[in-house]
Amino acid sequence: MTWALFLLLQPAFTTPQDAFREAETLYQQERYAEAIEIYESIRASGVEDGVLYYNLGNASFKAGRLGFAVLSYERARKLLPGDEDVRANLAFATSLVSEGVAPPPLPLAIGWAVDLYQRAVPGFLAWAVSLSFLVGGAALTLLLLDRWPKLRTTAVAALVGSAVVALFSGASLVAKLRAESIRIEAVVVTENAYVRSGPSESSPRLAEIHEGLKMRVLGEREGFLQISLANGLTGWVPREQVERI
Amino acid sequence: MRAALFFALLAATSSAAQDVRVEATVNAERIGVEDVLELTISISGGDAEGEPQLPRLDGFRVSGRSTSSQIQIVNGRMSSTRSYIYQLLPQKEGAFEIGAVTVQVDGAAHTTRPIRVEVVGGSLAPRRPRGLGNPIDPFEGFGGRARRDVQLKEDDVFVQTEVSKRSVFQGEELVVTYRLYSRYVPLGPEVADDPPLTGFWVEEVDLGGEPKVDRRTVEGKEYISFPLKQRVLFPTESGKLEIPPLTLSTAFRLTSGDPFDAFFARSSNPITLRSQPVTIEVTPLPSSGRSADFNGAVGKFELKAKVSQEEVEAGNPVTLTLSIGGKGNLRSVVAPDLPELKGFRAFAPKTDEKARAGGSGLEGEKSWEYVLVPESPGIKEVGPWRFQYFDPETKKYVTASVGPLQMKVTGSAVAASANVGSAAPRGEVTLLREDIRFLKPAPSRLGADGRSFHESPFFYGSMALPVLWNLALLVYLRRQEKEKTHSHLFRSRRAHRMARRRLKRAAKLASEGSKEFYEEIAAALYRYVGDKSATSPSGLTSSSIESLLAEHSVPEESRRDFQDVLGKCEEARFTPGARSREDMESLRARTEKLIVEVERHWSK
Repeated sequence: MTWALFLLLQPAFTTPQDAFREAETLYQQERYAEAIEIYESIRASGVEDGVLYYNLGNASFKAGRLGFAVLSYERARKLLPGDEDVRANLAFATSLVSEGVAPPPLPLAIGWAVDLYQRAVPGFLAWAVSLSFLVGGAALTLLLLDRWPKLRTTAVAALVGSAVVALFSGASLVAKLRAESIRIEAVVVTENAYVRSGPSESSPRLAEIHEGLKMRVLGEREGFLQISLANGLTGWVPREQVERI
Repeated sequence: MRAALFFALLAATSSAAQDVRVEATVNAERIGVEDVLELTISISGGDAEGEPQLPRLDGFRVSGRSTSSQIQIVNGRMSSTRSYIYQLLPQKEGAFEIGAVTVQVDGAAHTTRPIRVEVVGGSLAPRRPRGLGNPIDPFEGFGGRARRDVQLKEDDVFVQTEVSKRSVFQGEELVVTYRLYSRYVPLGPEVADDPPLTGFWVEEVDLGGEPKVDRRTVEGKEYISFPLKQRVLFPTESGKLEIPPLTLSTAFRLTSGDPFDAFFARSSNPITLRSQPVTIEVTPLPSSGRSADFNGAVGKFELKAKVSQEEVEAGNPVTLTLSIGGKGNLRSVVAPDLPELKGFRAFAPKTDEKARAGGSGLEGEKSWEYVLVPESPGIKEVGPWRFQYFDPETKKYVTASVGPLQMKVTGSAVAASANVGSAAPRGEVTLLREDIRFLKPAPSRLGADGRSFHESPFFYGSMALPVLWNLALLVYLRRQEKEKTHSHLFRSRRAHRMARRRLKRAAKLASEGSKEFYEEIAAALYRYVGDKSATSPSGLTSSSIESLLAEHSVPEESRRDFQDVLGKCEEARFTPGARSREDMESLRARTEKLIVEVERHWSK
């Protein structure tokens, strides 16, 4: 359906593969702005696709629009959380955003858990919850029936294990869905932006931030977003200078 | 023997001392009391620890101190000199000795030789305008006589650039010597400007510590002459190449016309001299007679080859030495190609180069030592080797050749190692730049990553199902448990009700006149006792009923009645002939009454 809509907008291309190929040719000829146009038109037709965002991020990066590159890579990561190319390019683009607001490094175990959380798709988490419920339910049934004393320890282990899995993946799933629904993160897309102490142009400036910087959105009011930076600084930025992921 | 040992020791110590040199010099050994004496302590070949320690100076006062450093690289060897210059003001006339100065260099104390200085009245140093003594007047500047300042004439002192050849082939060596000619004794000549020589490969000639001073006559005038610098040059380009002028700064000892008369020594102010540029015509090497493996060697060379042993056991190493020696641009000589050696393992060569630049050019030898390991026995040949060079004297290419060399390999064959020397290690990975990863092709279904499992009803079903079935199981289990613990009471309570139900069915059978009526009555009684005593009715007999009733304190009368009814039922079931409805009805009423009676008396 959405593709049909796209066809109406772009009569030159018959398939998405054609459009992608055309954009790739333009990209290799270093005509990045035109490549961006093609990707944007596919997106405008309502297609939400990780690969599309990844390619859009590449073209934006090459065109020198670091903010849009980071934004697109972040969006691509949401849809393809485990994709190594997306992660590598996002890391490279982010490395160019030197803002000195990096949070302190996490302890290894927590860093590993965060990484796992970032890589997990909601579908996968849902499967994990579902399976752990079934396994846990079966283990509970065995314990209730109490017919086979030899299986008792196994059943207890399975019950505890599945409860832990269900708890963590369930919590992650809820957190992910919530972040997705309220779009909790945003990226600076203009070259510079000022973090102000209140939601108006007359509020004093707290910090100058640059294109590509990622932040958390806390709230919205009168055309301003209340944000918090990785270093904990909280303030307000004009809504048009940042783009929600 | 003893003397030889002594000299050996002396040579050893003197060669060690040669590395570190500490010297004390003065600008003049005879000065006026109004003049300033400059004492220079120069330390070369090592680092001084702290400042030189000046001795007590009688008749002088130290008015100032300055330092200077100089680093020289001659023939690839670096030497540094650090000088401490002290300005000493004479306090009175007379002869004085500047005592030994001690300097700590690299942990060892070095002392200088004492210097004698004579201080006379007045001033001996030339004053402005700078000038020199009159070479004609031997008494100029002597004592308190008036001095005349004489202009230095151009041919009194000059620097000449002498070249061994003005026209050379590209790569042919030529020697350039910068020579100072002077009718006065120069003091401390220093090269002020030495521009780089473009278009030449330069080898500096080490002239040693003290220059060799000559007396030379040029156009009837006698000069002191010594080389300032000497270089061996190899043109690397053809055409007209210029040797730029050398600039020299020097002072002169003020004397009479006799340059060797040191008696009236005074120092002039330094002057600057500049040599004339020299143009060298460089001809490119002819192309005729040049072979493909000519590598640019120009000069006169000799190619030699030898092996360390002519007889060797297989598997043992032999050293093959190739050497090219002679005169010319030896530095550019490369190893002759080692032809493929069948039956040998060859290792990368060890290169040695011995070359010395001198007044006649660059001479020396380059050698390559290959370690060869023969793998199989027999008479082996290595070589021949060829080396082509251009001889500028005969203006022809000459090919030197040597070999082949023969070697007798004994013993038995050793296993050939797979690939010695064939795969040389390559360089490390060189990161050129960082960039993002390339575009991805379009997925077969765009936007397919959309709907995920968490949105499907199966997800919620899968969570609800285990909860529901376990709840149901729990309820069922609880009920079962309850029934188990209360079944006794339950059955007993139910017994009367069940019996009455049976009797009602029996009443129906009686109205039909069916013989099954008796069976129903018997079953009702059996069941009743079974329920009451929580036993299975099928295991009951009339005698066990009797004892059960007695056990539960049912009166004698009722027990007999019970047996009587059961007996009537048996009789009716097993004897033929119909029974009247009235009989049946009375038996039913009797049974009903009997059960009420038993129920009343039944004790738990």
